[in-house]
Formats: sequence, C-alpha cells, structure tokens
Amino acid sequence: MKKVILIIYLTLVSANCKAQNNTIHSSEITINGTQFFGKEASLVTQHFGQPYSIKDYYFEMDDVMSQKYNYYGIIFTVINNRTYSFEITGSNYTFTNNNIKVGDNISTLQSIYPLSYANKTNNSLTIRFNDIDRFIIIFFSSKQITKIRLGSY
Amino acid sequence: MKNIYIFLLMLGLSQHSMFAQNWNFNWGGIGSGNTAATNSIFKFNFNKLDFSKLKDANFKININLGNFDFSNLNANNCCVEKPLVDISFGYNIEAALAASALIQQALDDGLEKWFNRQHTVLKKEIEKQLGQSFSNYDDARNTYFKYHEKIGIQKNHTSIESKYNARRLDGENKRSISVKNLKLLRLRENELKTGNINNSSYGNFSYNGTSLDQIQSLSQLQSLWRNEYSTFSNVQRSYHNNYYTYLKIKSIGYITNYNDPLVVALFNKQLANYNRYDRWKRLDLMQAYLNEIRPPLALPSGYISPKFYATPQYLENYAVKNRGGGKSVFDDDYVYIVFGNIINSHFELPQIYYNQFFHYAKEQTEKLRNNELNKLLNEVEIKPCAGDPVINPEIVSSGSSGKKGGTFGCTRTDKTTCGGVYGKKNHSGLDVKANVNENAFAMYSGTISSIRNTFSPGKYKGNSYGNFVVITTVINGSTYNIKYNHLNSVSVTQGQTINVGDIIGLTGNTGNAADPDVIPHIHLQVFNSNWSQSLDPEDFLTTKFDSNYNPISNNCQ
Repeated sequence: MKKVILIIYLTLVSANCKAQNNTIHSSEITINGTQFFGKEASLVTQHFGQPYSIKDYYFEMDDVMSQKYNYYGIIFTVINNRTYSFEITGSNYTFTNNNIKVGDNISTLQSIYPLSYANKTNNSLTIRFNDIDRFIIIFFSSKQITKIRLGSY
Repeated sequence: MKNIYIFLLMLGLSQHSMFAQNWNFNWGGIGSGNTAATNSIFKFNFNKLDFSKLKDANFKININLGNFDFSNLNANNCCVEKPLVDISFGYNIEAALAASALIQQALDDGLEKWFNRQHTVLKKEIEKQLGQSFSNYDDARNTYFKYHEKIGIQKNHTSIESKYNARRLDGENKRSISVKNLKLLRLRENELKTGNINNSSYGNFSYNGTSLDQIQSLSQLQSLWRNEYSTFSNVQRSYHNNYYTYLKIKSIGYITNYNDPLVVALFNKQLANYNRYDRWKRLDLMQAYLNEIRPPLALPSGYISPKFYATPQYLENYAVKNRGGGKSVFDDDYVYIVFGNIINSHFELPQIYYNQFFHYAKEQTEKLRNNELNKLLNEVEIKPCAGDPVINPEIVSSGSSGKKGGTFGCTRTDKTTCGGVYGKKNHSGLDVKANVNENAFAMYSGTISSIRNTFSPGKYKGNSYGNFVVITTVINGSTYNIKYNHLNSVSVTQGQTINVGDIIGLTGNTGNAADPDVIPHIHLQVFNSNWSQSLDPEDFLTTKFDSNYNPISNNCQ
C-alpha cells in the first residue's frame, strides 16, 4: 500500500515538474552584466557602440514601428526609444549573472534552471518571469546553445 | 340486285342448335318470299320466315347456290353487314362510352367484319399514340400495355419515392444524432485514457442529458457506448434498407426500356387480365385504354376499366424486394454472409474447421462494422456553439498575468505604458485556446473580407499575427470585422460568403505564437466597420467567462 502511495506521489510530482518552468525577475535579465530591457536605447549604443545597421520593423500586433539595432551576434529591438527585446546569436555575450553564452552546453542550464531544463523540448528551453508577461527562450542544437531570445505572448 | 339474306341466315342457323340437323330446304314451304329465279339469281326474303314453325323440327338444309353472283352484293342487300361507324378516340370518358356503345351494338348485330376491322383501327391508334409502327395488332397491343404500365410506374412511384425519401432523411437524421453521440463518447474516452478526468474539453456537450465531464470512468463510458452502439446499429440497419429502397424506387422512375423486368412483369399482368375477357370485351377494354381512361378514373358500373398494375403497393414491394446494397454490415445475420463467403472461397475446407472459421467470420464482421462506424465518426464534425470560434473556448494564460493577460485591454504587465499606466501593456484581442490543426469556425455569418495565408504551419515571425481571416459581419444592424489570427492554414477565400459554424481554417501557431512557450490559440479581434475602434471580443463570444476567466458552462448544443 505504501509503495502504491509513493508511486502515485512520485508520478504527481513528476507531472507537476514537467508542467512548470523556472521563473526569474526581469531585473535578472542582463547582457554582459548590464540591464538593457526597458531602458533607453542609448544605453545599448553606450555599451556596444553604433550598430552596423538600424532597420525599421513593423510590430503588427502592437501597431507600432520598432527599430532593429543590428550588431554582430545580437539584435536589440527598440520601441519608442526603449529596448523592448533582444536576440543573442553570438558567443561573446553573456546572459544573466550566470554568464550563459551561445555555444555553451545546455547541461550547464540543468543546475541553474532545473524545472525549465526538465521541461525542455528537443530544441528549446523556456524561462518565465514573475513580474512581467514575457519569457526567455534558449534554443539549442546538438546540445549547444544557439540562440537566446526575449519573447512575448 | 337481288335481296338475298341467305348468308346472314346461314350464320344464324348454324349457331342455332335447333338447326343442327340435316335440312331439306323447301323454298316457299315455310316462307312467303318470292323464290322465282331469274337468270339463276333468286330472291328470298328470310325476314319473313316463320321460324316458330321450325321449332323442334328435324330438317336438313341443302342449299345449292349455283351461279350465285357475290360480286353484285352491296350494303343494301341481305348478306352485307349493317353499316356501323368505326371506334373513334376523343381521349375522354364520353368517347370511351360512345365506343363501348358501338361495340355493344356490333355485338348485338353480330358485325364480324366490323369487329375484325376495329383491330386495324386500334392498331392505327396505338401507332399514333406511341409514334411507332407495328406489323400486327397483337404486337401493337402488347407494346401499348408496356407503355401504359410505364405511365403507371411514373405516376405511382413518386408517392413511394417520397415515402422512402422521408424515411431515408429521417434515418439520416437519427443516424447523425447517434454517430454524434458516439463521437462525443469516443472523444471523452480518449480524454479519460489520457487522464483528463475533470477538465473535459467537451464539458458543454452532453450525452442523453449527462454532461460529458460527468462521465468520469471508462467503465461508465463503455456502458453508455454499448447502449448507444445498439441504438446506432438499429438506426443504421433501418437507414441502409430505406436508403437502398429509395434508390431503387427512384431508379424505377427513370425506366425507359420496355424490356425492363419490372415492365415485363407488369405487362404480363396486363395481358393476363386482358385474356380473361371474351373478344368483344377485349375490344372494349382496349378502346378504353386508348381513350385514356386512366385509373382512378373509372367507367360507369358494367364497363371494363383500364387499370395500372404498377400500383404504389406493387412498386413498393418490388423496390423493397429488388433493392441493391445487400444487407447492412450491422444486420445481426451479416456474419453468416461473411461466413458463407469464406466457406465458398475455401470449398475444400473440412467441416471440422467450420467453428474456427465462423469465429473468424465474426471477427471480420466486427472489423467491417468498425470500419464503417469509424468512417462515419470521421465525417462527424463537433461544432462549437454559434458565436464561438472553437469548441469550448478557454482563455489562454499569458505569463505572470495568467488568464487575465489573455483578455482584451491593458491586461498585461510589461515595461511599457498602457492607458497612461506604466508597467501595463495592451493586449489587442482575446486569446482563445485552440489545439494545433483543429478546425476554426466562423462565429457569425458574413463575408470573408481579408485573409493572409502566407505562413507555413508553425512559422515564427516576431510580433506577427501569422495567417489570419477577417469576416465582416452584421450583428443587430451594426457591421463588425472579426479577425481570427495565428491560424496554421486558411480554407476560405476573400469575398466568400460564410455561414456561422463554417470552417474557415485550421488553428495553429503562426507568427508570434510560434514561440515554444506560447500556448496555441486564436488571437481573436473585433473591430468596428471602419476599423477605427477595437472592441472586446468577449462581448461577441457565446461562451462567457467568470471573474477568474474560466468559461461558464453553457449548453448551446
């Protein structure tokens, strides 16, 4: 009887774990140690210099025009002169204080974001926020991180 | 010319038993006519004979006509039939009665030549009516009988066709209800098998008054399934028979070939009826047919009326007996058909294996039944409530705001400003949960005013609606544009008229919704007629939500 209860308990715990991801606070989103999200676009240029290109990009769902600040290995999306999102594809950018980088083995995320790691798909892992309706997607291929993106619902 | 009535008399006498004796006729002995011969031609008025004197007499008549000149006979002479007009055709009851009177008169007067001539008259009339020539009267009459029965078929099959069409439609309706019930039970079965006990996606649907989410165990469900399957089998059997009878009776209406077995069978009945009568009555019967005395129009009592053997009852029996389609696989004894096929194709089988093969036949029968049922189940579409884009709509949770973030307005938290409040973000629609590649339905009737179908299923693009459909609709006199976003595919075209409940595409996650953490949904938007104002889609959904953004059960089915 005890065994049955234990099995049921473990099954439920396992199911719960699978259904969840780790959550972080938006202030934890740093790139190379600096918070850019929600800050003025000038902060980006102060740290990374002028992008090699800035292109307009229409935000269809918000009906606003954004600007894509294109750097080698990272793109910042700016709306109303504030950083709205980013996408890291280069290995010379560290993400969060855990210094997560493109090219890292995804197994390094297991101890940092155990729930998200356990709940990963075959090519991505999600980290949620506890203060905003956004999420971080970490893509990987052949167990190596290939892209880190700040996404929105 | 001489007044000679000898032929008439001879005919009369020969028919008369009293004269079936040998007579030695003595001119003038019993008659008072002039018997004097002139140039071998004699005169004798038999009308003046007193036949009463001959009663019971034993006579032998020997008439030597000698050089009797038959070429000199004419209508005014004794041995030519009284003149009588031929039967004519007015195609009404008066014409038929007049013809009957003529026939009766001819019969009374014994007008044989007239009688024989009428066959030619009838043949010509048949040729006229049918538009074809015949070599003889019998051929013409036979073809006419077939033609007549064909008319009967066309006239009488319609009521039976209607009867079986009604039965077919009724059966179709009953079957569709039963198949829908089975479909719902199967959907619920799948949910139970995957452990979804309390959160049925089909909670708004019920089976015989039991809400599907109240079916919480497989044993409960299987019991309900068995009952419904029994109902379905009965309905399907009946539908099968009525459907194929309907097809048969419908095809009967298109018969053009006189050699069709039905026409031949009916003709045989006509001919048998015709042959029941004596030749004079047959003549009368045929003129009535040709004067288009059709059942139920009947001649007065005492006259022989045409009839259709292709009665509704006969046609119904014929269609039932000769319908195609064989037996329904849901017939109880269908297993014997399968078994028979097995035995026939393996005739060398020893009988000791029959039990095993009968068991195999039962399995095969079940397989056939399951195939047919599954085919029907696949055709059944469980539609949402009118006014809902999917079955049992739920609001999708959006991050830290939960389901509230899926609703319309400044409902999301972000590092933006909405409604003058920093930290809020506008959500321009309602996120309605929708599993990938399920049907998206039109909430209202209208016209497809815009579509986008350029995204492959699941294709990502930041801050994009992906594929969408816009339906312009009029509700209570006001025009609205309802936009269904993030579809995986669009199945309608611009300008197309659409009815409520029509499928407009497949749900999915194109555009911004392709990110892994986004629950597949329809981002539903409503705008006013000129797109200047965005409205809360919740106000347009039939399903309503409580303060926790959970759907309030409705029973719109």
